[in-house]
Amino acid sequence: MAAVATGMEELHAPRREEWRRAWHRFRASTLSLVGLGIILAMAGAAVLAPVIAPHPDHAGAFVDFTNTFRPPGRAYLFGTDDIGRDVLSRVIYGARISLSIGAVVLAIALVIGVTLGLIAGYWTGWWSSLIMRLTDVFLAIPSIVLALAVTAVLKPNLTNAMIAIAFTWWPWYTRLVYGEVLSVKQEVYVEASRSVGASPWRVAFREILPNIWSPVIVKLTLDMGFVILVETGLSFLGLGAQPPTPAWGTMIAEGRIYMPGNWWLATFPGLAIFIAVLGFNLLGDGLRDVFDVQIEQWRGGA
Amino acid sequence: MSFGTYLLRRMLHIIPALVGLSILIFLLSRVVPGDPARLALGPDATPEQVRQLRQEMGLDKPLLTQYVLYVGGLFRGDFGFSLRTRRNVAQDIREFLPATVELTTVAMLFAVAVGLPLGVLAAVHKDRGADHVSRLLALGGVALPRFWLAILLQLVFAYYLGILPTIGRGPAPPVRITGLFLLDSLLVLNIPSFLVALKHIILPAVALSLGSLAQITRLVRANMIEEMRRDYALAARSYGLPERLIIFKYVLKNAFSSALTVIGLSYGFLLGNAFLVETVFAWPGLAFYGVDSLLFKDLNAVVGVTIVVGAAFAVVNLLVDIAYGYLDPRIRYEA
Repeated sequence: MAAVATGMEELHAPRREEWRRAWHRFRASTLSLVGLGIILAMAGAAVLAPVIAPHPDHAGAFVDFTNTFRPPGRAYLFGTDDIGRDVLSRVIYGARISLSIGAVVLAIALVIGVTLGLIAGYWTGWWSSLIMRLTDVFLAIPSIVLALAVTAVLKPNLTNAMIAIAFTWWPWYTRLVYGEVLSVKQEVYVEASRSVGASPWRVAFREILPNIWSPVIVKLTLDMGFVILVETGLSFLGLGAQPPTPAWGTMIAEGRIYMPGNWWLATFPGLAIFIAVLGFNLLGDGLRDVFDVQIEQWRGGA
Repeated sequence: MSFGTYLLRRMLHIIPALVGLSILIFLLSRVVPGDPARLALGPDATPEQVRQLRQEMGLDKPLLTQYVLYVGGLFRGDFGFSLRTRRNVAQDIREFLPATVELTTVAMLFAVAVGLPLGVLAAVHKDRGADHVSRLLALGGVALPRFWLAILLQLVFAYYLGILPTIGRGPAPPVRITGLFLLDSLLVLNIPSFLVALKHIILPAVALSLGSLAQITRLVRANMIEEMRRDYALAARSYGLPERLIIFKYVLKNAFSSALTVIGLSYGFLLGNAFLVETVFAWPGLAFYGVDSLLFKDLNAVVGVTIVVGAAFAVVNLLVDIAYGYLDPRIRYEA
């Protein structure tokens, strides 16, 4: 047993070294750092929203008819909306919604997608081709269109928008993991583990899975941006978050009515979406270069 | 493998995906909470009326029978009855489809027409001004929410500057041939009508195309840089061929053919985002119709639109694959 423990420690030291080197490579790119900065700032804003928002109570169904349609200025940096709510505070609270939806959608897609991809890649058989044909079906249509169709049969709200997007998103992970599993399946360490009698489950989940994480992490980062685009799109169409929830897409839909005079209503939430998606894209591109993985980034609907 | 066999194999390849899609969408529309017949008749209907409509809609039959009937209908051009427009969904789709085809085609052409030269320019001037501009554009283009860009364009060019129309397609050309306004007015050489249609399509098409434009630019740039390092380019250069000739005659052809697949896939982006852009510009297309049907829970219409979009996506990718196989014969052997 002691020998095994020493072995583990020896294994861990180079891994730490690997991380340190990865961080060095990551740091070399200014754009990656900008991306990381954006994401950290956004996460910070989301967590600290009640503290940093100038008017935390404006996030929900607040009404102040004496302060409607104030243009951006010193008192209200992003102006106020049709019922006198501070747009800046609502944009800050919106970060909470977009980030948490992105996280939940990708968590669901990840669990389903990775499990199915692992099964299809490791155990060949009729179910393996069944799973892969199923992903073909899902990928035969732009994800936003399929998500729209799913919301049609559900009640339009935030939870259902999440379900709809996750429903369309998992096949990408199945595809990715399937390809990765096929490429490492014949590696020596897998053979070795199998030859000492490890069960197929152990080989799949303990040996193969830890070795194919890097493309999955890169894809998750890039996908956060795409999921935010799809979610804000659904909310914009009235099929996601409902008023008075301060979701960015909903805010744009509401603000659009008061164009062109009150341009700030739709402009600032849109800017927030743009910066958030940009941040995840920059970070994802940076991680991709660091991990040196090739993944197809072309997706159907986002 | 001959080109013909390749063609046939590719065509057969999309059938299972489309059948699967029809099953998926059909099942989705049948698990709807609440009875479609009840939904159609409203809360005041008697149970007897609901039962009768269920029978008419075939909802009392087993699921498999319903599916077979539905697919049979699809082949006869019968997409079921729309609760909202009170017509057959196929009729509605025929009416709204051309506007979407026109919008996405113009957007795609614009993306290629701008993205291709921009990618070449960036590759030729690697790490200099033009390259940085293209990089910024590519980063921004992918991250911009299309519907927001649409609103901003509308604000600036329609409201503030007043040089382009705010919404819609404008008046239809006098003769309807294809339903594509630009094409119809060109076919009868009606230039004023063509210009009106063009003015209306500029903003939505630009808003829609930006993402694809950005992708095409980046991809053409990357492919060009890779191809320029190849032996054949080096050989051509050592023979003393002019750089311009090498780039446009040899390198570009190879760089473009590998960018083609992405152009096909990015058509999916266009179709998906058309749902948002058409809403902003009140563009009377399939997506606009689809969103209205969604909000009205008009399931037959939603199913119809989804299947048509899936089919359109499949057909475009098929066309791209065919073009790819034609440009690059190696692909035919791999397939």
